[in-house]
Amino acid sequence: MPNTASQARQAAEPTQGRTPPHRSRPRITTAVAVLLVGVAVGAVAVSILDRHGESAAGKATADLFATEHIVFRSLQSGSDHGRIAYAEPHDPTSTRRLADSRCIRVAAAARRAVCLRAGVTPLQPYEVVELDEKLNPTSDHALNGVPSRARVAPDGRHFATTTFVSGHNYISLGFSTETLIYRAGGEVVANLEKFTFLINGEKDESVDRNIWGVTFSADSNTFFATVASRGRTYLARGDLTNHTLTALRDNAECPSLSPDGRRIVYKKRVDPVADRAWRFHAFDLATGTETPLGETRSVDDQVAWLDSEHIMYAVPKAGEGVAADIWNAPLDGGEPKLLIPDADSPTLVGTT
Amino acid sequence: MYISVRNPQGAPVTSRGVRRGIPQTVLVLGAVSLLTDISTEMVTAALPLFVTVGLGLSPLAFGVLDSVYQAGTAAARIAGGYTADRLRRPKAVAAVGYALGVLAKLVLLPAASLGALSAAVGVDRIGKGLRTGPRDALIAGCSAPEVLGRSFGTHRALDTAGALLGPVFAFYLLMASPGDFDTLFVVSACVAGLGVLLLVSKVREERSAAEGAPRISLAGAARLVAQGRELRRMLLAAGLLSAMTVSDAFLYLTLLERGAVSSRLFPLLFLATSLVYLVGAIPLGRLADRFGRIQMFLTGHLLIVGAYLVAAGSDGLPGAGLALALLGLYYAATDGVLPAAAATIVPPQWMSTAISTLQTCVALGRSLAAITFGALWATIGPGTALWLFTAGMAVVLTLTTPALLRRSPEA
Repeated sequence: MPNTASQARQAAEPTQGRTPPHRSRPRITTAVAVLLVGVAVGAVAVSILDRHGESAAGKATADLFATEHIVFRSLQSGSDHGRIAYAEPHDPTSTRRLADSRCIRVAAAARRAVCLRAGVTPLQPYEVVELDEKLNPTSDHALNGVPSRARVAPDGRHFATTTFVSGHNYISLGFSTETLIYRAGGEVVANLEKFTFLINGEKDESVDRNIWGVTFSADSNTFFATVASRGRTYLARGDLTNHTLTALRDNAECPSLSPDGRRIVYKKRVDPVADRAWRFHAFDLATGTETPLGETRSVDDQVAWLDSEHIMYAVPKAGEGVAADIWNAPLDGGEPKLLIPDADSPTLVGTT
Repeated sequence: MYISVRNPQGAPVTSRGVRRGIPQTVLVLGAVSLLTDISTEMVTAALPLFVTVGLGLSPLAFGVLDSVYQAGTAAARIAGGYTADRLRRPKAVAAVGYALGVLAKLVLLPAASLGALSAAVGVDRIGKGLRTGPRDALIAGCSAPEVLGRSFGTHRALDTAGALLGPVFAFYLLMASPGDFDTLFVVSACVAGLGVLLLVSKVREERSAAEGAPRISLAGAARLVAQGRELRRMLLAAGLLSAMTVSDAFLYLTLLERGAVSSRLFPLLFLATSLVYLVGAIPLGRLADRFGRIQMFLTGHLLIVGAYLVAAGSDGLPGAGLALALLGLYYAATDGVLPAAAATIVPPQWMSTAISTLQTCVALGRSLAAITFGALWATIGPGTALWLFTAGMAVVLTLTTPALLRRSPEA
C-alpha cells in the first residue's frame, strides 16, 4: 500500500495545525521511535562485539621487570583497547606485548604496577589496583574521583594517585583534586592536602589548595608535586616524614624527576589559550636553570623518563577522537619523535 | 485556600475527565524529562573521564567554562518563556529546547576537542534554559488549580529519577565497552531523541485558558510586574531566599570537613539527597495543595535552616544523614511548589514568562550564594561561613514570610 501515507497526509492537510493530530502521525512516530531504539541498541551491540572479540592478551613474561621495558596502556581499537602493554624501548613496535588488565592509567616501577580503572558498581565507579610482577592484581582500593595521575616510587615502597573529585552537581562542574600516597599493600600514608605548604618559608593558610602529579625520588621519602593555591601553581618538594610541601618555583605542573634525581621536567603554562597552553621545560635542581624542550605542541601529561637524556609522554591524536600516541623528546631541545603508536600512560621499568 | 485567577474560566482539565488524578500530560512531560535527564546525566557523569582520559586535558581547565554559561542560561530562560507566551506555543518552544539537548550530544561525536566540548555544554545549557519555563507552563496549563502541587511534584519526581539513572546507565555502558565514549554519546542522543518524540507526539497543548487574551508584549510584562504585587513579592522573595542557600557541593564539603562523613561516602551524599527529593516530591506537593503552596515553600526554607544547623553541629553519620534528608525535603518542598504557587497568581497568557523569570531569580540567587559562600569559605572558614548563611537565611525568611503570606486585596 504505497499510497496510504500520502493519502493520509492529504486527508489531514486541511486540519493541519494544533487541533487533531495527523492520522499518519502515529506511524511516523512509531517509525522514528523504532529507529532511535535501533540505532542505540545497534551502537551498543557493535561496540560490545568490538571490545569482546578475540584477545591477544596474556600473562606478563618473566623478563618484564628484569630488562628495560616501557609499560603503557594500549589504545589499539578492538578487544584489547585499554589493556596494559609493554615493549622494549629500542624497538617498541615489534616487541609490543599485551597483559590482561584494562586500565584508565597505569604506572610501574620496581617489580610492581598500579592500575587506575573503572570499579564494579556505580556507587564505586573507580578503583586503584596493585599488580605484581606478572601484572596480576593483588589488591584493590576505592578511588574518590576520576583517575588522573599515578606513579610508583623507584624503590616500590610507595605509590601515589591523583583523582579529580567533582561537585556532583548538575549546575556546577567545578573540580578539585585528591592526591594520596600509599604504602605498598594499599595503606594510605598521606593525603597531601593535609600537608603544611610553605611558600618562601611562610605557611600558606589558604583552604582551596589542590595538589596533583606526584613524582618520587630514589629514597621514597622525598617527592615532588604540583600545588595550586590562590590561583597560582607551584612546583613543590614534599617530605613524607615531616608532612611538608615546600614551594620551589611557580608556574610548573606535573613534575617528573630524572632517574639521577638532578633534573625535573614539568609543563609550564605559556599561553592563556587552551590549545597552546603548555610547554615542557627541564629544570636543573642544582643550578635553578630552566630550558624549554623541543616539543612545540601543547601537551597536558606528566612525562616519564626514557633515559637520562629523553622523556616520553602521550599526545592526543588530532581529530581522531579519543586516541593518543606516545612520543619521545630529547632534553637538548631537539625534535620529538613518535615512539609507540596508539598508546598512552608510559613508564619505564627494568632499570638498575 | 487559594483564589486562582483562572477559576472564572474553569479548570481546563475537567473537559478531559481527569480532575482528581494526575493529568496524562503531566505524566508524559515527566517521562520526557526522565528520558532527557537520563541522556544528560549519563554524559555529565562520563564527561570528567572523557576530558581527562579521552582528550588528555585537565578538568580543572574545563571547570572554568562553566561560569561563562551561567549568564547565558539566564538569558535563554527568560527568552524561552517570553517567546512561548508571545507565540502562544509553549510546546513548540519546549520542543526546540529539548531538541537542542539532542544536538548537544551529537556535537560531541565528530570532533573530540575542548572547543566541541564547550559548544556541547553551551548548547545543552541554552536548551535547558529555553525549555524549562514553557514546560512548566504546560504542566500548569493542564492541571486543575487544586492539584498543581501534586502535578509539579510528580513531574519533579520523574525528573529526579532520570538524573539518578543517567550515571548508572553511563557506568554500565562504559563497563561493557571501556573507553568507547562515542557509543555513549550516540545512546545519549537517541534517549534524548525519544524524549523529544514523546513530547511532540503525546503532549497536547491546553489552549483554552489563554485564548482571547490580548497578545503579550514587553510593555505588558512591565505592567504585569508593576501591578502584580503578589508576583513581585514572590520574585523578590525567591531571589533573596536563594541567595542565602549554601550550594549542595559546599554543604557536602562541610560535612566532609567536619568529619561527619568519610571521603569514601562522598559520592553517596548526592545520591541520598536525590532519593529523599524523589520520594518526597509527590507527598509534599499534595500537602502543598492542601495547606497552601506558599506555606510549603516557606516550610522548605525552614527545613534547609534545619539542615544547616544539623550540619554545623554534627560530626557523626546520623547527623549527616539528617542534614541530607532535610536538604532533600527542602528541594521537594520548593522546587516544584514554587511554579505551582506562581501558576495560581499569574494570568495564563503570561505563564511561561512568569515561571521562567521566577526560576531565573532562583538560579541567579544560588549563583550569587555559591560565589559568596566560596569566598567566605576561603577567608573565614567553612564553619563560620555556614553559621553566617544560616543566620542570613533565618533573617530573610523572617522578613519575607509576612509579605508572602499577605493576600493582595484584588486576588
